[in-house]
Order: sequence, then structure tokens, then C-alpha cells
Amino acid sequence: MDKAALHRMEIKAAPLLERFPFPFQADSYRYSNNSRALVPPVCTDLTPEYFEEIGGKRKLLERYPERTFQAFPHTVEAQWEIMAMLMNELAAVHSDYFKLDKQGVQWTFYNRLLDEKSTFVFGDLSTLPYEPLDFIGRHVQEDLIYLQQRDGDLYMDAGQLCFPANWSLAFDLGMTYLQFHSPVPIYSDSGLAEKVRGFLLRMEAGKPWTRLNWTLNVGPRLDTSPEAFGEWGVGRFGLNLENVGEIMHLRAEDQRLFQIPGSNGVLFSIHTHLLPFDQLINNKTWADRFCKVLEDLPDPIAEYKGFLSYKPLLIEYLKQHI
Amino acid sequence: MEEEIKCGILQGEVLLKSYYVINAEILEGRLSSPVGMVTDGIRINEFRITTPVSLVKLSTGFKEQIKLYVDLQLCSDDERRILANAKSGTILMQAPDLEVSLQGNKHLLFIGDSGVLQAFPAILALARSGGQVEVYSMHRMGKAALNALRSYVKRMDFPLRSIRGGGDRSIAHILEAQTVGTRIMAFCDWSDYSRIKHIARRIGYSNMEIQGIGIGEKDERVFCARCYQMQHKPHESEIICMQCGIPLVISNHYSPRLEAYMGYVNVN
Repeated sequence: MDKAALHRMEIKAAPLLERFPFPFQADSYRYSNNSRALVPPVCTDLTPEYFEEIGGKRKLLERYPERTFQAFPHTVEAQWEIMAMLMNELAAVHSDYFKLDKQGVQWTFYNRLLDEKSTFVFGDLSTLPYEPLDFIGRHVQEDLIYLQQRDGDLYMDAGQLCFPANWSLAFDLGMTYLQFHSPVPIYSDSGLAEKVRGFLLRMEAGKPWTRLNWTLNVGPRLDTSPEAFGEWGVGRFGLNLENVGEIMHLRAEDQRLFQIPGSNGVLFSIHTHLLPFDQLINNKTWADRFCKVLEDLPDPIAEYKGFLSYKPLLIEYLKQHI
Repeated sequence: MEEEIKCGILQGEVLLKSYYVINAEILEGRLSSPVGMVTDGIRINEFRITTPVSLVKLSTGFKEQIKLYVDLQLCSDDERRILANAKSGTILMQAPDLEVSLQGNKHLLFIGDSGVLQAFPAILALARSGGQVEVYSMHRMGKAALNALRSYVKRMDFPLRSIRGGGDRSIAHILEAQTVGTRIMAFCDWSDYSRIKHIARRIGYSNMEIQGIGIGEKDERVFCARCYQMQHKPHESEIICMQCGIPLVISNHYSPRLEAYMGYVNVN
């Protein structure tokens, strides 16, 4: 067995249905501040999809650099801080797979899963092949967004985003919290976005929070960027009861929020998980709850999430299998 | 319904040959910002002036006073007569639809040909506040506008500087040399205002540190989600991207940085 195959086996390989972060706590879903304290306070989560997702990320980063990585020059210090935080975490929490050696400012980062070793001078951009956020993002499955706190608001000032749920970093860069949430119905015009922004502005270092977000995916594709909508957006045509189980996926985003104290900002990480409907139905409790959520979901939310036109089909499928 | 502001005319006079200034006292209503512009014009006694009016609030004594500035070159003959005869009576106007804040210890003003009228109130207010001010005329200003600006700025004891060559690098050089907390004000046509904003943001100025009044038709743009090409925003809600040929649906999602609306790929 080659080294890569051996490493693939080392990440805990529980079946997807057992480790999928099911996003519904009740039979009804509305936008809310559904954050809870992150325990343990760990940003990164390694899953058996690591190799596929890192490979996919790196291909997208090489092929579409403007789409997948954006950062204002003034975020470099914050990027170093985030990179240090994640490298320290990876080495401590996933010590079987990552190691970090520090000799003063000379650091060496080992990724045993990919058999990679990187030596650089901390704080010296010329010694890294990419900006710090971009570099560390190539070793973790999470998308990484940096929100800079400034003038009493939060600005999306840097990010590495390979698997967006239909939003564009290239377009949203520089926007305030309310501005980049403006397309989200109800959330943006009900006062909830302002409340959540206030919550984020009061976050404390060392006390991260987490929440789950969700949408639906046509197909198993993680890259559902607006840039590529022409490729993935057509999948919804041709759905029927026979194929919906295989084609439709519940897409859950495990979002984690860390205050970055030195730079006065927030790291927002997004780990995206996909569960095909035909696996979801094997958990009858989930299938029943999900069906009720869809039945109760206001049309503007379903419209925004892109599935209003075929919601009845999804409900019918789920009801057949409850 | 927008609050109407009623003022009592105290005096009026010609300023620098091309402008008219009215001193007035606020009788009803209030101004939320010290400097602003009423683009729809004002009513003087029973007559209507449709020309845009810029204004500055001067808090003196018991009642607040304001100065209103009108560009006589934009007025009709009738409007000029109305202004010349407006020595007493009342002014009615809506609250300014464009406003400028004077927060900050230091201000850089960039003023173009079309922005002199809009700049007068800010220049006066900043002079009265005693803060540091640098005034720059945009490249290729018309002689009349430049002379009027030079004369007015001289009265306030500010130097008037020009932007060497007028290019982006010169503007960037000026902005980079400033200390933290410097605020930028632009009174010029929209394309120059956009240019200054882009340069300032690139350097690291925040949105709150950049403000101004853009003059003329603002070119609204659409950002193609697929190829990032910018193009003119039509009245229709759907367009074909002029670069990649993909059909786009124009959304309300707006980027202040790019000054454009998102055009999502249309697969229907």
C-alpha cells in the first residue's frame, strides 16, 4: 500500500451518515443567531474527504486565482496571525498528521498526509510561495474568510474561498457585514443581521463560536460559485422522483468563528459537507425532520436557496421514504 | 414624507461674479449634517428655483443660520431675477439629499470643475472649525471655475494646490503622505470621484474616510459573475455580457468597492 493510501486510512473513516453535521434542531427552520460556543475550541476538522477536497481546492486556486483568493494589502499581519493559529492548532490537535518546528522565526511546517514540508521565515512574505492565508488554506478543508473590525463594523477584507454556496469573494471583497448579507431575504431586512453583527463585534479571543448553515446541492459538486453557475446551475432541470435521491444533496456548512486579537478581526471558517438524499433517508428521524422543515419553509428562503421550483418534488421523495 | 425646512432670508449677494449666496436663519425644521446639497432646488417666497443649491449650517446664537450657494450660470434669467430680488421673505426646501460630514482633524478636498458650488460650503465650514485642510484642484479645470475656487480658498487662508499631471499616481502620492485619520472629500464629476475612491481604498482608507458629492450622470455598471467584465447597466433586468457573451440577470446586490451591481449567470 502506498504512503498516500495509508494516510487516507488514518483519518477516522466513520460512514458519512454518522459524521454529517445535520443542521436542523427543530421541525421548522428560520434565520436566527444559532451560534453556540465551540467546544473544543478547534477550527479545523479532518474528514476522509481530505485528499479529494484539498486536491480540488488546489486545482481551483491554480486555475482561478482571482476567484478563489482575495486580500487587501493591509491584511497581511492578520493573515500571519491566522496562519500561525492554524498551524499551531494542526500540530497540536492533529499531531499524527501535522508538525510545526520553530527555530526562532524560522518555521518548518510538515503535512504528513500530503508528504509536504515547508520552511519559511515567519513574517517574511518572500519566504512563502503564497500569502499566509492562501498558504495555510491549501492544507485545510475549510474555506477561510477574514473579517476586519473597523469603524464599528466588520469588513470582508481577505479570504480564500473555493467552495462557495453561490456567492463571490471577488465581488463581495471589501463589503461590510450587512452589505455582503444583503441578498439574504428576511435575515438582511429583519434587524437580525445587525444583531448578529453586534454579537460578532463583541466576540472574545479564546472563545470561538460555531453555527451550521445549510442549502441544497444539485449533484456532489462543492464548487457552486456564481462564476461557474453555467456549469452547475443547469443540473436542476431534469429532476424526477427516480433520480432525485442520487442527485440532490443536503449541503451543510460547519462555520466556526474565531476572534483574531492581534489584528482585531474575525476568522470565519466554512467546512462544507454534502449528504445525498438517498443516504439521508437511511436516517428516518432526519428524513422526517427535513421533510417538515421543507414543508414549513417560507418561499423567500427556498427561492434564495435556489430550490423553490422543485420543492414539492423533494418533499414527495422524502415522504415516500419516511 | 421628508421634513421641509423653512428659513428666513437675512441677506443675499453675488459671490465671485458667478455665484449667489443667501444668508438665512432656520425657522422650522432641522439639518442633520452641516454641509449638504439640495438637488431639486428651493422655493424663495412664492417662486421656485430648480437649480441645485449647496448649503452650510452655521450655528450662531439662538437660531441656526445657513448659507445657501447657487451657481448663477445654471440659472435661467427668471431665476437670476428672483435671486437678485430675494432680500427678505422665506425659503422653503426639502432636507438635503446629499450630505457631507465634517468629522476628522484633517481634510483633503479634491475639487473639479463641476464641483466648485458643492465645495464652497465645505470649505467655509472647515475654515470655521479650524481643522487642517488641503485643497486640490483636479486636472484641467476651466479657467472661470479655477479662478472662483482660488479666490474663495484664498479668503479662507488655505493654499490651493493642483494635482501634478492629474494622474492616479499623483493622487496616490498625496493620499499616501497623510497621517492616520485624514479624511478625503471629493467634489467633482462621478468618474473622478470613483477614481479617487478606488485609489484611496487601495491605499487603505476606509469607506468612512472617503466622502463627497459626485456631479452629473453616474454611470451605473454591471459586474459579470462569470468573467468579471464591467459594463453599463441598462434599464432592463437582463443583459448579455459584452465580453463572454453569457446572459446575465442583474441583481440588487451592489459592491461599493467595484461600484457595480452583480450580474448573475442566467441559465433559464
